[in-house]
Amino acid sequence: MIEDVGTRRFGVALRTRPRNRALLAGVLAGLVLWQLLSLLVGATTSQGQNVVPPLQQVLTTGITGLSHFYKGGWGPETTLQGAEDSVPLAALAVLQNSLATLVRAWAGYLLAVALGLPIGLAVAAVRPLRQAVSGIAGLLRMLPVLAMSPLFALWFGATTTASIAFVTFGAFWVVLLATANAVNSLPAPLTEYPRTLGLTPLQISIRIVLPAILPALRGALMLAAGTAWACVLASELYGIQSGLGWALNQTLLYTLVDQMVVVAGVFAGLSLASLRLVNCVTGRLTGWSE
Amino acid sequence: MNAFEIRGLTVQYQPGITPLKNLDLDVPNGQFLCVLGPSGQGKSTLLRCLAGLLVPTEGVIRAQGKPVEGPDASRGMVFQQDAIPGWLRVRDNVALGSRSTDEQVAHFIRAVGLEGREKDWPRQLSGGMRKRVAIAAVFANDPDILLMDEPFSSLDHLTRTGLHETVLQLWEETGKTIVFVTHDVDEAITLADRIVIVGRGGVRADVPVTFPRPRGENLRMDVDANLLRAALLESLK
Ligand SMILES: Nc1ncnc2c1ncn2[C@@H]1O[C@H](COP(=O)(O)OP(=O)(O)OP(=O)(O)O)[C@@H](O)[C@H]1O
Ligand SMILES: [Mg+2]
Repeated sequence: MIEDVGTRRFGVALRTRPRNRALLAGVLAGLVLWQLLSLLVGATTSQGQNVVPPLQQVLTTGITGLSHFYKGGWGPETTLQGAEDSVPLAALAVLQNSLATLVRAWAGYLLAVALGLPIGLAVAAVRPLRQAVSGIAGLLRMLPVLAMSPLFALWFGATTTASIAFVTFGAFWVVLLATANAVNSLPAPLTEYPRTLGLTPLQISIRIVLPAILPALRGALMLAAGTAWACVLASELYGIQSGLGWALNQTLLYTLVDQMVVVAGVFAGLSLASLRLVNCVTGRLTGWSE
Repeated sequence: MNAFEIRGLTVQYQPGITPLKNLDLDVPNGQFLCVLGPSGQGKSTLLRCLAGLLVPTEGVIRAQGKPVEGPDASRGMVFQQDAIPGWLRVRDNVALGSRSTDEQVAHFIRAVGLEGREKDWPRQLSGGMRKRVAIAAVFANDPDILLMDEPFSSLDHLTRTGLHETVLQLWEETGKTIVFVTHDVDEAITLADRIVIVGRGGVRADVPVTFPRPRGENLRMDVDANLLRAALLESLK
């Protein structure tokens, strides 16, 4: 398979490296731009902080200031108990809240996939269901889904359950619709052939239809992951007292721009890493088609 | 017993589109039947009914004496388009059928000449080799009857000739009934025990083909074969 090695090497050269490099270049350019802006914009907040704090401020007080988002329980005392702001405490704070957000985002996302795939398969098979779902989906498309986050806080209280439920809700539709669409655009012989080999409908769903739609579904699974991260942020803005969304909201409330930048950076990094993981896993699963 | 007894088979897709009208046909067990006909005359429709993939508007089809009520493992089908799943390696593809056994799978992989390619992905195979996978898969599932809908129409002449040999070998080895749809007169003469021409909703001609096997290229020089070819081409018009 000399040919294959060639294409694979070429594929790597073509995709991964420039993407990483471009990302790095983007981040660097962003930082430079930020620093320039901080020099140019002189406006300050009511607390006297620069609205575009310079990088040296972001990297010092922006980080240590996060210490008060550490809520204890992991050994060290919290700032409320008298501890000073410090980098280790800030690290704990970031870890604690990142973990909360990660769990919510991933639990919600995986639940959405676990529900969306089988229901999508069922919907594609049954015409009245298909029509009902496309009706609901049409309606949902007109509503801004993120704006429905307070409703979930109302229904489930300020809990992690509410957050997960909302993430699931947001990502579920993406997976469901993409699955149903992908199934409907499969060529007929692909499912007729296994029927003539004596496979049962369930076997055909799992062994034939599911892998067949995966390449078409890859984009949707990425989109759903993006939606999940947008939803988790929205879900943490109301009531709940933990997570990066909550921390972000707090920094906004007290206009602590330097801390806000750090929290937003952590959030962006985590969501990006999650999307890459989804991309990588689905890429593995569809390796046969490349 | 007959492999197929078809009585009064009528398929109407919608008013005005009735490719099959009151078609009667018996196919004895073990026969290699070629169904010949111009495009759009209901050959695929007939085959899909035989497979149980299409429910006829009227009429009865009995396979081995039992009414056909849906697709099942006793009637295997090789499709015109590539239908083998691309995410199953060659061996897993051949073993896909519910009745296939490890022994049969290994045997038919060898019989179609795919030995050594068991671990390849379908995309790593040529079009002709993918057809070989489909053929091995159907045989490995041990059906009573094989249905083939223009399986080789997309292949070049040489590849096709090789596949004809393989199919004939397997047919002689297993003694299974084969219903083979084609619009290629030469292909039909090379393969068939019997050629049926389908047109205007029914059977237009029903011709036994008795040339000794193996037939191959020497059939091109044969006077009788050429007469048959001319006659078939005439009735296809
Ligand atoms: N699902 C369908 N719905 C409506 N009409 C159909 C359908 N399938 C086939 N037809 C029509 O029925 C007629 C017979 O089609 P069929 O595919 O059986 O012909 P064929 O002999 O196999 O042709 P070809 O040699 O081109 O494959 C054609 O006129 C076709 O347009
Ligand atoms: Mg056809």
